[in-house]
Amino acid sequence: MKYSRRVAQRVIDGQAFVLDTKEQELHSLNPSGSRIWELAGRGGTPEKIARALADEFEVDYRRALCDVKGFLEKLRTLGLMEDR
Amino acid sequence: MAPNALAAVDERGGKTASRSLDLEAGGLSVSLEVDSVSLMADAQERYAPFLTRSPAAYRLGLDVVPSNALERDGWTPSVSREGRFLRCRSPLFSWRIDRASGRGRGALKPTAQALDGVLRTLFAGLSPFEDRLLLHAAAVAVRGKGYLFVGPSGAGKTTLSSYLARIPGVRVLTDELVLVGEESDRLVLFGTPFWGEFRPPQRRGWAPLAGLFFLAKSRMGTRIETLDFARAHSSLLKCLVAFHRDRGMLERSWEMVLALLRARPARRLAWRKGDPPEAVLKAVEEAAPFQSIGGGCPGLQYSGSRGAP
Repeated sequence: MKYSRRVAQRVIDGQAFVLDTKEQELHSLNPSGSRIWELAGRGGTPEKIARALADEFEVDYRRALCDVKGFLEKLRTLGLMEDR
Repeated sequence: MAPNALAAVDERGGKTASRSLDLEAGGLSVSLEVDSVSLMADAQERYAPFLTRSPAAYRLGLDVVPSNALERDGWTPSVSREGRFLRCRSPLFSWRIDRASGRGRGALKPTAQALDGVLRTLFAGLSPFEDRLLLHAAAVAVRGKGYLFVGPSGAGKTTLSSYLARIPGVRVLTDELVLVGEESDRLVLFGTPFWGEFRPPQRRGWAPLAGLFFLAKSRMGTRIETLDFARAHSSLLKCLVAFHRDRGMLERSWEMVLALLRARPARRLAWRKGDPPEAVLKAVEEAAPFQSIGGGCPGLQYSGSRGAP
C-alpha cells in the first residue's frame, strides 16, 4: 500500500499527523498507529509491519498482524492509503 | 477614497463613488472592481482603514449576477489550484485569478456578505503564496509587542479582545482573523479587515509577535500552561483559514504553522471574565517576555523543517 495522493502527512515527536486534503480532516495517530503508518508508507507488508510491532511493543506477532490488517483496512476505507 | 478610473455617480446619494476597492493588509494587496456603486460605497466605508493608494498586486474584476446564477451544492467556499490559476467557488460568488499576472475575473451576488466572502477567500487563497498565514485568532498590541490568541469560533477571541481593550495602551489588531508573516527577520502579526462582533474604530496595525496563546475558559482564575509541540501544532492547524483543498497549498501552510511554533512556543491561556483585565494581561506578558529574533530566525520560509520527516 502507499499513501493516498490526497494526503499530506508529518511525523512530529514520533506522532503521525495525517491531513486529508479532500475532506480537510486532520487525523492524529497513536504511537502504534504512527509506527504502522510510517512502515506502511515505506512499502512494508502487513507481516513485516507486524513483526516490527512485536519487536517494539509488548504484543505478540499474531495479535499484531490482526491489528495491522485491520488498521490498514481502516486507512484504505478512509481514503488515506491506497493499493500500489 | 482609493484612486479609481471607474468613478460614477451614486444613484442613492448623488455623490461620486468608486467602483473599485483597493485593500492592503499584511503586505497582501488586492483590488476589486465591481460594477455596483452602492455595493462599493458600502465597502469603501466598511474597509476604510485598509484602503490603499498603492497599486495592488492582485486585481479582480467582478460581475454582479442575479441571485440564482451561482447555485451549487454546499455552502463552504472552496479554493482550488489549476496550474498558475487559483479558482474559488461558492453559492454567493466565484472567482478565478492568474497568480502570474495577478489578474482575474469573477462574479458575485449583490450583497455585502458576498463581497466579504470574496475578500476572505482571496486573502486565504493567496496567503500561502505570499509567505503569510491566515489564522482564526485575535491579536492585540501593547507596549510595541504583539500577542496572538488563537481559537475556533466560540473560544472567546472577541470577548478577550474587548476585555483587554479596556486597558489604556492596549490596541486590538483584530478579533477574528490575523495574518502572520515575517518582516525584517521578525515574525509579525497584522490586523485584517475581517472582524467578529467586536468592532472598535478600526485602524490598520501590526506588531512583532511576542507570544502565542490558545484560549480556554477557566473557573479558577487566570492561569497559563505550556503545551507540547505536537498538540499545539494540531490545534493551530485546525485554526488555519484554508478554503483550499489543494495538497500543495496545504503543505505550504503546514510548514508555516510548524515554523511559527518553532519560533514561539505555544501556551494555553485559561481565564474568566471576573479576573481584572490587567491581571490577564500581566500573566500574558510575563509568560511571553519579548525577545527580538534576528538573523537565522526560523521564520516562515519553506526551508528544511526540524521535527518533520
